[in-house]
Amino acid sequence: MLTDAWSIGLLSCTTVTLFLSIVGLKTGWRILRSWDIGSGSELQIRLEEEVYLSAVLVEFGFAIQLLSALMLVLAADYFSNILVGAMCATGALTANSYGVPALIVKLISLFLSAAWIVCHKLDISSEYYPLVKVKYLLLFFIFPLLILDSTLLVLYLYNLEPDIITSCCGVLFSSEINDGYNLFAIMPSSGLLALYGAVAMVLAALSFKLSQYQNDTDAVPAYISWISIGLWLIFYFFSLVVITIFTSPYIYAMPHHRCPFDLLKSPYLLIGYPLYFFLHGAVLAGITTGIAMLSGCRSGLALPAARLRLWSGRLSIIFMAVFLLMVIYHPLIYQFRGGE
Amino acid sequence: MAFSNLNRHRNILDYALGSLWRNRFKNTGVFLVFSVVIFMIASFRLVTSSLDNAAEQLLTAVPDITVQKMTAGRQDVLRYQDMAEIEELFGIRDLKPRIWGYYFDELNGANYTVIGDLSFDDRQQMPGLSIVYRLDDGSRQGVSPAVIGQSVINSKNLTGRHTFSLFRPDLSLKSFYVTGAFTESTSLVTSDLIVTGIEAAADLFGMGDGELTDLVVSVGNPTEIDTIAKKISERIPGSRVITKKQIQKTYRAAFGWRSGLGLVCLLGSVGAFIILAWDKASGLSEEQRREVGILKAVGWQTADVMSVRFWESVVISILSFTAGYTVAWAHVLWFDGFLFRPILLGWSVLRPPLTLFPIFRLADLMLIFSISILPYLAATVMPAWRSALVRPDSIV
Amino acid sequence: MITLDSVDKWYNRAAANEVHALKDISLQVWDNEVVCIQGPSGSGKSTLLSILGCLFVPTSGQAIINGKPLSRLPDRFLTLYRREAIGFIFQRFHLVSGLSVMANITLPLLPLGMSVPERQQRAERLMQKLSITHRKHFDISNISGGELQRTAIARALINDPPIIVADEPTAHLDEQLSNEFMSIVGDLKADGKTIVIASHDPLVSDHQIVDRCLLMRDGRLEGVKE
Repeated sequence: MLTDAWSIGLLSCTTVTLFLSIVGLKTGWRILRSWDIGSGSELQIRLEEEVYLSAVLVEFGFAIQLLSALMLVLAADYFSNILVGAMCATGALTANSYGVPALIVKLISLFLSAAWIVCHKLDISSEYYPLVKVKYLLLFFIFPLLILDSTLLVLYLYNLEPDIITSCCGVLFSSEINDGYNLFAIMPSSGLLALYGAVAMVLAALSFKLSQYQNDTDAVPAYISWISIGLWLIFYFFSLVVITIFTSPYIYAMPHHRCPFDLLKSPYLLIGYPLYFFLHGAVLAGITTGIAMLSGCRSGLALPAARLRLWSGRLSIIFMAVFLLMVIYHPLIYQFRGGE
Repeated sequence: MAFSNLNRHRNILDYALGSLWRNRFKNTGVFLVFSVVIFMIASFRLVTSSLDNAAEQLLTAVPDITVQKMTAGRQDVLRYQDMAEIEELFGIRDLKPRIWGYYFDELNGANYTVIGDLSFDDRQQMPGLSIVYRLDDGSRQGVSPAVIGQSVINSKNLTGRHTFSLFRPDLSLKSFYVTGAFTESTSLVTSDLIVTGIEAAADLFGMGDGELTDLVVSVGNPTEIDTIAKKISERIPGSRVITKKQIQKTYRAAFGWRSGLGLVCLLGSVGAFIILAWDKASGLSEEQRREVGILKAVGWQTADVMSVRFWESVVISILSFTAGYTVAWAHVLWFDGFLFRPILLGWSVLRPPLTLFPIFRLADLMLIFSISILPYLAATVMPAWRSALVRPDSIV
Repeated sequence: MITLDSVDKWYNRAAANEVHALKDISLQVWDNEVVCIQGPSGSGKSTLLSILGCLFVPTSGQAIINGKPLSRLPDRFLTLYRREAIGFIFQRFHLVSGLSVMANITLPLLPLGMSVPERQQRAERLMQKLSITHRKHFDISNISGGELQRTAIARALINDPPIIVADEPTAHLDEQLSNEFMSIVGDLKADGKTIVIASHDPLVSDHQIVDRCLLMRDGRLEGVKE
C-alpha cells in the first residue's frame, strides 16, 4: 500500500527527516572534530554558527516526528477500514510485525530529540558551551534510530495487504489470559493501578523536591537525576498501558474496546489529544528536570540549569496532575453514576 | 520567560511580514507556483474524499452478508435448497434469494448489472426513484417490470419510451417495462443497474429452475455478522461469504490506490517546486546582505535572522495553502473537479453522471501539509541559515 | 572603562590573502571620555572600532569592556553583550530602506521581546530629544541627510548603552550637520556616555568636546595628537 495517499504523506515526512538529519550529522561531525571554544579562529566562529544550523535541524526533525507519529496513528485508523479484520488503528498497526515497532521507534526518537533540544538550550546559555560534545554524540545516537524508523515504516507500509486477516483491539488488549495475544495481562489490573499510583506519587515528590533547589551548592547526586529520568519513562510506559486497558473501555463504554488510538477520534470528543498532550508534556518536563540537574555542575550552567528545573519541575507536576485526573475521570463517573 | 519568547516571535513575525512586502516581486513568483502545486494536490484529495464519501453513504444499503457458491475458483449457482441449510441459524433476521449478474449489450457495448430480487414488486412504493410508472395488470403479460439506472436509460434511448428488450442466451428477446428510474444522486452504484423480479432475471439469464447467484442475509446484531458469516461458510461447502464491511473496504482500497497513484504523479511537480524554492531562498541580493549585516550589527543573533526567514516561509506557505485550497474547493464544487475526474472515475462506457461535493477533512489537510508545505519549509532551512551568516562587521 | 592589551587582529590567517590589520594595540578609554581615533584610510581604524564595538573578537590579546573580558567570548554572547553595552553609529548610517524612521529606531528592540507600546515609548523619547518626531512614520528614503543621521543616532541609543562607537560619522555630511553631530556628542557626554569616534575629519578631532585624539597608522597606535 505504498501508493496510498497516507503512505505518501508518511514517506514524505520520513524523507524530509532523513535529509535534515544527514545535514545535521555532517555538521555534528565537523563540530566534534574541530571544536575549540578557547580559539577565536575563523573555523571556530564558523562552527559556532553551525551550532545554530544543527539546532534548527533537530528542532525541525522533532516537529516532523511529532507530526508523523500522529499521522501514523491516523493512517492506521484509515487503513483499518481497508484491512480485513482490523477494527481500529491497533488492528492496522498489528497487521504485520513492523507497525508497532515503527511507532515505538518513532516515540523513542521523539524523546531523544526533545532531550537534545533541552541540552542545546542549556548549552548555549553558557559561554563555555559545556555540553557540545554530549549533544553531538547524542545526535549520532539519534540518527540510526531515524534510519530504523524509516526502514520500519517502509516495511510496514509495503507489507500491508488489504486481504490479510489481523487482530482487532478487542482481541489484542483483552484481559483473557489464554488467547495468545495478551500483552498486558501479566498482573491483575488492581495491582497495576496500585503500582502506577505509587510511581506517580514518587515522581510528584521527586519533581517537587528537585524543583526546589535554588542553586548548585545543594548538590544532588547524579544517580538521583538518572533515577528520576528512568522513573518518568516507566511512568510513560505505564500510562499507555493504563489508558489502554483501564481508561479507554470506560470512554468507549465498551469493555472489550481497548484501544489507545480511537481516543483521538471525534465520536469520543477528541479526548485523546489533551490526554496525550498532558502525558507527553509531563514526561518531557520531568525528563528536562533530570537533564537540568545533571547539567548544573557544568561550567556556567549553574544558574540556567537551576532556572530550568524550577520551571520544568513545576510544569511536570501540574501536567501529571491534569493527566491523572483525566485518566480517572471516566472510570470514577462510571462508578458513581453507573454509566453515562 | 515564555511570554517574552512569544513576544519575540511576534516581533520577528512583524518584521518578516514587512520584509516579504519589501521583496514582494520575488515572493509573488514563489507564492503563485506554490499555490498551483497545492491546488493540484488539494483538488485530487477533494475529488477522492468526495467520491469516498458518496460511496460510503450508498454502501450503507449493502446487505450484511452475501453468500455465493464457488466451484473451481469461479462463481457457480446456488440452489433454493441451500437456504434451508442456514435459515435456522441463530441471529439471522432475514434470508432472501437473489440473482445478480452482468449483461453485455452487444448493440452498444455496455455492461449492465442485473439484480433479480424476490421481493421486487413494482406495485409497491419504492423510495429513491426519480420516475415511477405503474404497469397495469393487463399489460403484464410477456413483459417484466424493471427499475433501471440513468446510464441504462441513455444507452437504450428510453427517453419517451417505457419498454426495452434484451437477448436471452438462446437469442430470444426478453421484454422489460420501465416502472422506475434511480435518482442521479445514487448514480455511483445504480447507473448501470437493472432491478427486476427474481424470475425475470432467471429468465433473462436462462438459469435453471431453483437456481440463484446469491443469498442475501440480514443479521439482527451487527456485532455478530462475522460469527454468522463463519457459520454459513461451514454449513454450505464451497461457499464464498462476503460481509458488508469487506465490500466497503474493497471500494475504499480501490479509491485509495487510484488516489495514491495520482499523488505519486503529482510529486514530480512538488519536487520541481522544492528546487525552485531552494534556488530562490539561496540567492541573496546585495541589499539583502546589507540588511542582514545591519540586523546583526544592531544586536540580532543568527537565530533571530533565521527566525525571520522561517516566518517568511511560514507566511508564504499559509497564503499559498489558503489560495490553493480555496481554488481547489471551487474547482470541485463549481466545476465538478473536471481536471481529475477521468483519473478517478474509471474506464466504464457508462460513466456515472455524478455531482461531487467537496468535504473538509483534517486528514486531508495533514496530507497536503506533509507532501507540500513540509518539504518547502525543510528546503528553506539551509538557505535561511546561510543568509544569516552575514557578519556584522561586513557593513563597517 | 575600555581596555585593550596587546591586541592583534588577523584576517585570513595563513592564507594567501592574509592581512594583519591590528598590531599590538594597547589603549584605555575611561568612563565618560570622548576619544577620537584619527588615521588615514587603511590604518585599521574600522577594525579597531569593530573590536571596541564588539562586532568581533581580537585574534590575540585582551579586550575588556566595562569589566567584561571579550577576547574569547563566543559570537552569541558577544552579540548579547553588544546589545546591552554598545551603540554603533555607522559611516553610511546603514538604515534599512523600506522601513520608517520609527521602525529603524526600534530595530534593536525586536529580538528582545519588547511589546509594541514599550518600544514606541522609548523611541518617542529619543525622537523628541533629537527633534525628529515629525518624521517618525516617514520612509527613510524620504528624509534629509541630517534626519538620517539623527535616526541612526537614535537607533544606537535605543537600548541606552553606556558606550557609543561612531565610524566616520561626518564623512558624508556638510559642515553644519557635522557641527550638529558634535553638539549631540556633547549631550551624550553630559548624559554620562563614553564615546569613541573614528574620524579623519579635523572638525571632529579638533572639537573641544573631544578629550583625546589618538593617531593610528598601519595597524598601530602612534600616540596622542597635540
